[in-house]
Amino acid sequence: MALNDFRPMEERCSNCLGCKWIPFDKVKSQRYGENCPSISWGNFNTYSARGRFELGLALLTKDADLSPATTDIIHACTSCGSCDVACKVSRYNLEPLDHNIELKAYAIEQGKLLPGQAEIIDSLKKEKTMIRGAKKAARSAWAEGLGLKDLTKEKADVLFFPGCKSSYDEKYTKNARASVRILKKAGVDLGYLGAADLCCAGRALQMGFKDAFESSAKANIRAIEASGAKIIVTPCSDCYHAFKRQYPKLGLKVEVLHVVEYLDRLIEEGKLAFTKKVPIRVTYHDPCHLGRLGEPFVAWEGKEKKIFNQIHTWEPRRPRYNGAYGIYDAPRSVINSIPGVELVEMERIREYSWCCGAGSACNETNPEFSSGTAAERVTEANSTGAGALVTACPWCESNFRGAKDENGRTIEVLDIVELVEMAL
Amino acid sequence: MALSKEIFEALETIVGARNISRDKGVLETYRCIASQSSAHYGPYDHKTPLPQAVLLPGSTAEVQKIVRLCN
Repeated sequence: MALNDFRPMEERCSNCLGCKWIPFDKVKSQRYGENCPSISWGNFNTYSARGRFELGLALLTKDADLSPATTDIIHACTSCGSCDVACKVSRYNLEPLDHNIELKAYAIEQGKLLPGQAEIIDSLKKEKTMIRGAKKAARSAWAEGLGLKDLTKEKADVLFFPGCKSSYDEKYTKNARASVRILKKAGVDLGYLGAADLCCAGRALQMGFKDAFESSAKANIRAIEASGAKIIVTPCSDCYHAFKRQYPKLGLKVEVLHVVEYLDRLIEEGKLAFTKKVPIRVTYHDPCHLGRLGEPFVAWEGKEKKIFNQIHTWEPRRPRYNGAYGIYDAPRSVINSIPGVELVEMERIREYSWCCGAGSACNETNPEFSSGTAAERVTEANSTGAGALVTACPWCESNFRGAKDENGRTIEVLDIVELVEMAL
Repeated sequence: MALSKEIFEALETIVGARNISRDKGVLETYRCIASQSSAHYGPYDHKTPLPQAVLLPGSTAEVQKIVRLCN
């Protein structure tokens, strides 16, 4: 789709401004009632999903142009989908998240990028990773000594896909290595793509680089199909969303699981037994791309229809991605099954979770916005009295590490597989 | 009456550079609310006047200063 295809939506948005708040029946306090990191940081209406619909329309009608200020606003969006969830409480015929991404794509087509974005995509094209400075040749180093099958040469039921952050960043390879150790301990027949392992490119799509995403995704799908694996399991929520929601549009047909889903399954089947207590009070952060954006893709083909020349609908009914069927219970079940751990919840949880700020590579291209977003979440985490913030995504983990809340305090940050391994 | 550079700078001093904008893209999202219509009622309304600037005051005192300046 192009921006012009969203014009009916841009005109239909009724300015209810629900997109700026978590759904009102879920609000527990004014302090933690907001949902959109973009408008919370930028303040002008333009930063909200409503504002972006208006801006998109103004660009199409030539009432506005891609000035530096407008370009900054367009790209100051982590593509977290929070606006999308809020909008769909009362609307059926708007897709704010898709429009936000299309607006970015529109700006990119006109050459309006943020500093750093071109280098990130260049790295994707040349080194098959969006981690700048990382080299393709070093991608498999994280797997040394783990005894993983190379799926370019052998077969296995389950393909482990670590993702770029867990492959290259030494602070987060621990998550990939811990995941593999735990899954192998539970008897899972596990393999890895080795030299054929490439970036999922989900972040490229979040940023609006649709062609770069599609090209990388097709190469990945070929490698995955050639491996013969029936299940992909990943510790990265960005990769999870890419495989589960975006890749099926391009033909991927394997089952997609996050490591936390697999762990939950193994615990229920009695294949993982905890032997140690971990006495800690934790709070769990729902990653955007595992939670509200972790719903499976539902194929749809139909057409728009007007009832009484006023009400827009579709025949047959379109799938409604409103976050309700994301992955929320599995991580909580895993945490609650670890002896000694006490789980306390933040106010904004599940599909109403506040973004970590790392999405759409904002952690690199707009660090002030990104770190402010993370600080807000750390403030909320610290307000629960938890000793640690647990999450299921290395991007979330890295954005929270070192982030200071409004009182200058940090919080210990753990990946869920780390917590699990402490108890095994 | 067009917003002069001097008045804009005076407004900027009151609210801070982050809280004032004259960018067309920002102004378009502040057209008169009452005129904005969904496709249920008609096409996008181009005739509503566009503000010359958008300000986001952070306190009563700032609002008072803005009003005094505008008067």
